[in-house]
Amino acid sequence: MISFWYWARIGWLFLHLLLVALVCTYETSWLVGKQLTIIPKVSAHFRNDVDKVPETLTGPNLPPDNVFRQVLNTYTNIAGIEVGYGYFAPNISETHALVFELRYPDGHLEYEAPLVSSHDGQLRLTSLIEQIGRTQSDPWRNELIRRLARSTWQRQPQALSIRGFFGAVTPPTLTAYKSGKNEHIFSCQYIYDFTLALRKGGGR
Amino acid sequence: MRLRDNNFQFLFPADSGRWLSFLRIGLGLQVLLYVLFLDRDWNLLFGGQHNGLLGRDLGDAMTFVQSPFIPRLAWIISCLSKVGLNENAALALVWWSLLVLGGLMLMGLFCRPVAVVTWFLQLACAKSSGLLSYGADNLTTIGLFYLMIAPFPDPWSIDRILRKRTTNDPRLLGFHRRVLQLHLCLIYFFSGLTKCLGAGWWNGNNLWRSLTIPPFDVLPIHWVATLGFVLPVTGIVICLLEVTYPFLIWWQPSRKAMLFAICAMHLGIALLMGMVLFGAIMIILNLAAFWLDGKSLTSETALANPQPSQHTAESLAAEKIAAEGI
Repeated sequence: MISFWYWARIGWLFLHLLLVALVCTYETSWLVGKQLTIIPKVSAHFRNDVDKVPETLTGPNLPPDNVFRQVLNTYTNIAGIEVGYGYFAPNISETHALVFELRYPDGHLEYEAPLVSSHDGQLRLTSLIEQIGRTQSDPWRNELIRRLARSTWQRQPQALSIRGFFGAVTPPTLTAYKSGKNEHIFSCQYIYDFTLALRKGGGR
Repeated sequence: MRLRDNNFQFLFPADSGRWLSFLRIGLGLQVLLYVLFLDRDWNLLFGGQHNGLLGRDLGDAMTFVQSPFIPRLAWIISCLSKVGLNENAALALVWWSLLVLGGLMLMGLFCRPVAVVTWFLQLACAKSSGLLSYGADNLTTIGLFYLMIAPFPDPWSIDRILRKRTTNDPRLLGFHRRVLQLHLCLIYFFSGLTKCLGAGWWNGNNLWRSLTIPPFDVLPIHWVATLGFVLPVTGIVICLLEVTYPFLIWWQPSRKAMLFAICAMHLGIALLMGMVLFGAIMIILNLAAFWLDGKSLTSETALANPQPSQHTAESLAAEKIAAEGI
């Protein structure tokens, strides 16, 4: 005779692993749907069908105050299973970079990237920059870059103005490197000018 | 009925609990590495709008939108402000707390409360840093979550020695290990699958870029270029290793080789790409889940869980004699 608590544990295990699998399936189907994989173009109808199952069960389209969504989000976050595991996948195409141009009272310019002290901090900063590069939302990108500019300005309070350049960096391919082209090509996508009000805590 | 018994025995194999000791010690080290690696950037990563790189309020807001019940640093800082601690002092206290908790976890002292508080603080840090967190944080949360709910005390803990307590049910230890094992299988399967779906993993491009773009460019680029001919093969091996992990790790003849290969891969990630925290947590989780202490899982399970049909009159009598000392 298997006791109730053993059955409860089996039930929890099933639900827990089901959530892990659903989150991963959702992310994988998202990649396929966005044509980021080698799978040939799938029809919009099929894509929607594939997306529907995990979406319904993991609830990303429910209103934010929906109890089911909140319980699910709380559980997946506290268990660390709210995201999938597609690290460095399916492809590593271009990377992104953010550089600030600082103008000083004597007219000279200095160029500086957002700065952290440790290698692990650098990994985290890289993750942030890549997320800025991937976002489709202009206001969100503007806000993130504004915050990074303010942090840089707080470190260099003598600067009069600050200009941010955000863009994609294309590293050399192995073939190009072997033929002597060791250049990382920076394509500027966005330029931001920040006024003195930003340093004082606000403004653009 | 027999199928149900087999399933039950698969999910609840009796276990000595040494895997839990390994997980606890490994996660203790991981937490120590986490705080020591981030020492110089602590306030920058977790500071508010005026101290932080991005501002903690952003990560807190992103977490709050998902659910107001997910732990975040704002809770701790707000509580500590009521006793007069400012933000910098509160962040320093969190840093020191994690350092002490990592040490206690390593020793196995106050296992359960230490695991719960460490999980809470690490989760709060990971959530409040928001966009500045990455895979290593997520996997550490997973490890700490499993540790927090595991049946303590484990065999190598000071708790067990001091309080002379043992874990009541070896099957529960086996069950919790099984959860970790199955979760790892899902992690590798989906990680491998998404890699297989990228053309760059089949021709070596992704591996070239992984090893040469900053900040992963630990090796000099000309070294990587010299070894360019092995990149496509290595990329394919990584894809196949990950996608076949859930199958080969359970198969007795390939288990040790698979475990060795996957740990070697993560050691490579740690050393060649500078992702020490990520490599370390994956090795810890793998060894806790599948390192067998010289015994195979199957034989361990069989020894601990004799099939119902094996309960012959002789064996039952022998057990009774042994138990009653007749």
